Amino acid sequence: MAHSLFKTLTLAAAVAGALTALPSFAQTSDPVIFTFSTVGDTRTQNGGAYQPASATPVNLTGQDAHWLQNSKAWGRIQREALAKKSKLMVVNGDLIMGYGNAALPVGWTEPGYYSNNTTTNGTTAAYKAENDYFKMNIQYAFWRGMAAGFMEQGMYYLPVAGNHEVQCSTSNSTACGTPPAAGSAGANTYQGSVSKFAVVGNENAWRQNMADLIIDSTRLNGIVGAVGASYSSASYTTLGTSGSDLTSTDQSALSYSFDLTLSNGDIAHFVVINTDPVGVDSTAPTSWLATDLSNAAARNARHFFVFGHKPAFTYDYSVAGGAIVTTGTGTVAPAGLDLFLLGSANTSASTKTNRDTFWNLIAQYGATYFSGHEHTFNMQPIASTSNGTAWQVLVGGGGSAFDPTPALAKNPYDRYYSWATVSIHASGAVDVNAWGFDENFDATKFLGGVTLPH
Amino acid sequence: MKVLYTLLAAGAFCALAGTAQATLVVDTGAGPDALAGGLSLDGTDSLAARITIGAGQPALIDSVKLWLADPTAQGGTFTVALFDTTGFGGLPGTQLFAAQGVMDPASGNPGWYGVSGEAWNVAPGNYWVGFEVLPADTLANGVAPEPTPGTLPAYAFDSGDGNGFRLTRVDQFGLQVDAVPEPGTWALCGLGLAGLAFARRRA
Repeated sequence: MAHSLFKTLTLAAAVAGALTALPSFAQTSDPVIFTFSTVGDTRTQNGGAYQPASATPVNLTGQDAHWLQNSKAWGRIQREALAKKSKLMVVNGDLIMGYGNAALPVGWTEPGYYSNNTTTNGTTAAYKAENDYFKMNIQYAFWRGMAAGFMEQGMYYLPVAGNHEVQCSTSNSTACGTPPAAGSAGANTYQGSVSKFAVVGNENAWRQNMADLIIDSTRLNGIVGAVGASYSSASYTTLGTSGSDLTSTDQSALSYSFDLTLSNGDIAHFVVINTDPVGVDSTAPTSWLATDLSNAAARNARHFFVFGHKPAFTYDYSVAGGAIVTTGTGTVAPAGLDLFLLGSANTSASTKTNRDTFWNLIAQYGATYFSGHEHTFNMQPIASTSNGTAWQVLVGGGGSAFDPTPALAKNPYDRYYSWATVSIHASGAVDVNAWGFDENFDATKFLGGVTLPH
Repeated sequence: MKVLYTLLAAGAFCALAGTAQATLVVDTGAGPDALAGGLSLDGTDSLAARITIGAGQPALIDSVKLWLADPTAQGGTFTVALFDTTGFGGLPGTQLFAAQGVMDPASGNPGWYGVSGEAWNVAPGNYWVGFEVLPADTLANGVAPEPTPGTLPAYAFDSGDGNGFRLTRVDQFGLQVDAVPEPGTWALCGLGLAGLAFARRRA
C-alpha cells in the first residue's frame, strides 16, 4: 500500500509541475493596427533656464543654448513614442525658436555653402538678414538631426509650421521689415500688433528645410508598410496660393493632407494646417479645409486627424478642471484661433468667425484636432456651434518653457512635458492617450485618454 | 522498506503542503481602477520597488505580480526580475533572477500580472523587484496605477536614458510577492513527520 501511495504522490508531483505553464497570451479581439504620436513646441528660448518659473531652475546647457532646442525633453519624448510603436510623429509647430526673417539675403543664391555668396559685417541691414538666415537654418538643421535617428528606427516625421517658424518678431530680430498690409475685405491680418507677423521669407525657409518630408512617399511607405498600411500619393493635396482663405502667398507644404490605407482597408485622412499664413495670422484655411475634408469623405475615409499649431480654443490653466478661455480679459489671454473672436484686435466679421467655422468642420467630419502653442497639456471634448462635439488635444509640452507658472497651474499635468499617442484598432475605434513627465524628469505617467468611435 | 516509503511519502506530502501554503510576503494592495497618473511600463520605462525578506520568512519566491493596466487593451509580455542592492546608492544592481510575465487585459484591466511558479531562492535581506519590457517582450502601453493602500520603502524607475534606475520621489505601484519555505525546510518537515510515525509504531 505504501508503494502505491508513493507512486500516487510521485504522479501528483509530476502533474503539478506540468501545470506550471510558460506565459501564454491569447490574441486580443480588437488589435491595434496603427499607432502615431504627436507633440508640439520642442524649442527652447534665448538664454536662461529651461523652466524659468521653476522653484529650482536649470540653465540651458551649452548645446541647447546654441541650438535653442530642449534636447533632453524632446529626445526622451521621441524615445517614448517609438517605444509605444508609433509609426508617425506629427510635430505641431514651434520646432525651432525662429522668430527671425530667414529670407535669402539679397544677392545670394541657393545652396549658399558652395556658391560665391559673400557675407557682410557690422550692423547693416544685409548683415542682419544674413544673421537671421544662418540662425534659423542652423536651428532647423539641429532639429532635423535629432529626428534623423528615429526616422531610421521606423518613425516618420510630419512637421507642422508654428508661429516661431513663419513669424518674425521685432523683439527678436531687426530684419523683420514692415508687416504686410491688411488683406482683402478689410480683415486684420496679424495678431493685432506690428510686433509679430508671418513673412514670406520664413515660409520659403520652411519649405527649404522641411518640404522633403512632405511627403517622401518612398520613405513613408517603407515605414508604415511595416504594419500593413500604405500611403496614397494620389490623395496628397497641398494648399497653394488661395485667395478664398485670404492667403496671398504659396502655402504648399504648410497646409497639406494625405491618406493612409490601413491594414484593415480603412482610410485614415491626415490634415496639417498652417495657422499663421502671411497676412492672415491666427486663422485656419477653412475654405481649403472644407474642400479637402469633403473630398476625403468622398473617398470613404474613416478617420480624420487634423493638426495645427494654434489651438482653436485656448486652454485656461488658471482654472481647476480645465476650462476654456471665453473672454479676452481673463487671467489667460486668448492665444489661438480664438484671438480675433475674443480679443480686442479689430477684425472683420470673417476673421472673427474663422474659429467657429473651423470647429464646425472638425465636428462635422468627426475629426480630432491636435495642436500646440500653449506650452502645457489639455484634452477635452468641445461643442461646435452646429455640428456636435469634437476633441481638441493640446500637447504643447514638447520642451518649451511652460506657460502655466507654478502659481497659476491649477491642474495636475499643466507643467508636464507631454504628448499624445493615438492607437487605431481594427474595429475602427481610436484610443487617444496622453503621456508625460514632470520638469524634474521623473517617471513617465499616463495622463489620461479617451476612446473615440473613429 | 516501509519506513523508507513512509519517509518519502511524508517528504512529498510536506512539499505539496508547502506549495499550497505560499505566503504573501509583500502586498501593497491593489491600486485604483483609474489609470490617470499611473506609471508607464514599456520598452523605454522600467519600474522597481525595494522589498525586504525578513529572517524567518519563507524565502523561495514563488510569484511576483504588478498591479497593471493597458489603456489600449492590447496587453503583452514583460519581464519580471529580482535584483540585489549593489547598484549605485543601493539601487538595483546585479540581476539574480528573471522570468517573463504576461498582461492579458481579458483577465482584468487593471489586474495583478506577473510571474508565478518560480523558485527564486533568496536569503533574508533587501532586494529590488523590477519590471521591464525587454526587446523580446511585447507590452507597449503598460500603466501601473497608483496610489496603493500600502507602500514600500523605495521605488525607482528607469526612463531608458542610459542612466539606469533612479529613485522616484513620490510615485509607487501595486506589488504582490508570494514565497514558500525552502526545500530544506520541507525535508525537515518530512523527517519530522517520519519521526512521528516511527514513534507511533513503537508506541
